[in-house]
Amino acid sequence: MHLRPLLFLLAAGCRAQDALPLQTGNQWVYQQTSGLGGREAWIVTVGSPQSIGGREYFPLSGYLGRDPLLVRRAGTAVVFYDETERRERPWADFGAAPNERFPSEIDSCNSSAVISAREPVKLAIGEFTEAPVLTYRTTCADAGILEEVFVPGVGLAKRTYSTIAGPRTFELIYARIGGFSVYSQGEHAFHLTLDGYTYRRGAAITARITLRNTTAQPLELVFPSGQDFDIVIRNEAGQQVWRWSDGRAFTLAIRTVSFTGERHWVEGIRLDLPPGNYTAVGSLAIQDRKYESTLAFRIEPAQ
Amino acid sequence: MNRLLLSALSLLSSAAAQDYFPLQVGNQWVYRATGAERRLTLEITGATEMAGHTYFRLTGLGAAYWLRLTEAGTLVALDEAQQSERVWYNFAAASYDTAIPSAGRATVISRAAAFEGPLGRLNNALELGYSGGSLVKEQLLPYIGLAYREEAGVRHELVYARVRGVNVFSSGELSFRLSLDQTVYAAGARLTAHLTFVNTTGQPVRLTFPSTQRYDLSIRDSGGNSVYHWSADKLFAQVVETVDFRGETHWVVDVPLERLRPGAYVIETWVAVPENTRWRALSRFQVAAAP
Repeated sequence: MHLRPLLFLLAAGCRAQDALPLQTGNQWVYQQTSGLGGREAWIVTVGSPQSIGGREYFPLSGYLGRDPLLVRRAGTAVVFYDETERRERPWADFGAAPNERFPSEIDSCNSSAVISAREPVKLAIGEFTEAPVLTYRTTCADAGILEEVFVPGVGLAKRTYSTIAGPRTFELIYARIGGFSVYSQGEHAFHLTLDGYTYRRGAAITARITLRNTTAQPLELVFPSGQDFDIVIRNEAGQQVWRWSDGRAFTLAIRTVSFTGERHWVEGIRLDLPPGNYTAVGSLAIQDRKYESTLAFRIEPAQ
Repeated sequence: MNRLLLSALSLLSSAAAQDYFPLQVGNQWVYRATGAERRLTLEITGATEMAGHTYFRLTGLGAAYWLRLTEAGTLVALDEAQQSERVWYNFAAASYDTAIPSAGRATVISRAAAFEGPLGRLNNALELGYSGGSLVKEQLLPYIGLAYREEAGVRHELVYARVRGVNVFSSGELSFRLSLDQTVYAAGARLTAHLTFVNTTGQPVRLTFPSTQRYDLSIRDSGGNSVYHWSADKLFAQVVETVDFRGETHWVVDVPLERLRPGAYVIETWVAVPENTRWRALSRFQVAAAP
């Protein structure tokens, strides 16, 4: 089921209403890119839908201080439910003609907005050919949203709002929409992923190690042998009970690698571990082993 | 490299009815193996112009192959020795000879096959059966690519794909990730550490915290000396809280690097449970000398 949003995105093209994909579990992470106040971050999450007056609303937590903000699509528009006044209020109409003004009460300091452009934009997460830009009318001197940029299929990608210290802009640095995700341009990461948290005794564990460097600078790595990675499993007492590299031979030749892009190593592990708590440690087999990722998992008795 | 070309994706709906083998540089497909220890990772590592066509370099199936999708929607491989193109997938035909290694003849079993694998369940897979070689069966998913491959008793199932800059995850994942926005920072720059606790396994991870602190982060220099500790100047309410981690939980930490001298550093982060060795991530970065 996780694939549906991606397939929808890939196959159906960008429709107006996809400017704000509402599926439970969707998440967006933003970071301040300009204005006073450092590099503050905020995170928006879509919760489980709730029914009010026979209509289904998705709660957006972390959005504009209203927590949660109950939103739903109404045709090409997005509206939110004001729980105090017990009525729907307008936010945005992605089907509006260019510069056609529509009411927008998403912030107490905004009264209306227009789609001022559908134009190519370059954002932290990539370049897009047609992103609706909403320009808001503000009713307060130094408060309210000035502009929001939405990317079809992804959601809110950029927001600028007015403060007494000048405009502050936040940009999307990560989004997870259904079973797929998009990252900001520069990411330098190493991690271990398991396919479960609780396993039956004797069940297979799939471990995936990922090294990703999509920053502008190549990663210089020195491997002392032909070994790329290692995985160690420890019991609750911290004792090593299994090591992937045990019993394997590697060429003893120093390799220097200038790495960009993404690399994965996948291993199927089948062990007869007694029930208990364990940790799996994935590491990159470079000289100083300074890339490491540790996860806990549990083994339960076989049925 | 990580350009998200959603506009290109949207064009796909009109360009090709079903793109079963997306050819863009950077696309990657990672498979788990059952039946034998034989890893498989396919990747489009480059593109080149030859004889007026753009070919994409596929690695992972032994040798590297130069592939392209013809105007008729057939995926062909360039045979450099013969200076000709050989059919890999004829998506319009019911049965055809294929040059896919170890394949022989391909026959379409279904264009709406049920697919069930680590990525989830779908009912629109193209299922191909093979005869005349060791390759037995393949399933391809539109806009994602090869999702299942069975050859000589070894089954490969897609667990991760990166297609056109979009990452497709398997439905059940557990990870604690630390990602940095650079590998080398200028002197006085700021570092952004993005911490993500992912649990899409369907099994709740219940953690008990001794305070309202959820994570911590430290930086050590090449001598092992601590030069930064995120929680050192913060106060947390001392209340025991139990949290179920489901889906994704994100934390973003902004670290000023102005006090750090040029050199190599190790950054470590962990979930702030008492057994703080259980969820942990270690990475490294460099601070460059001022120009």
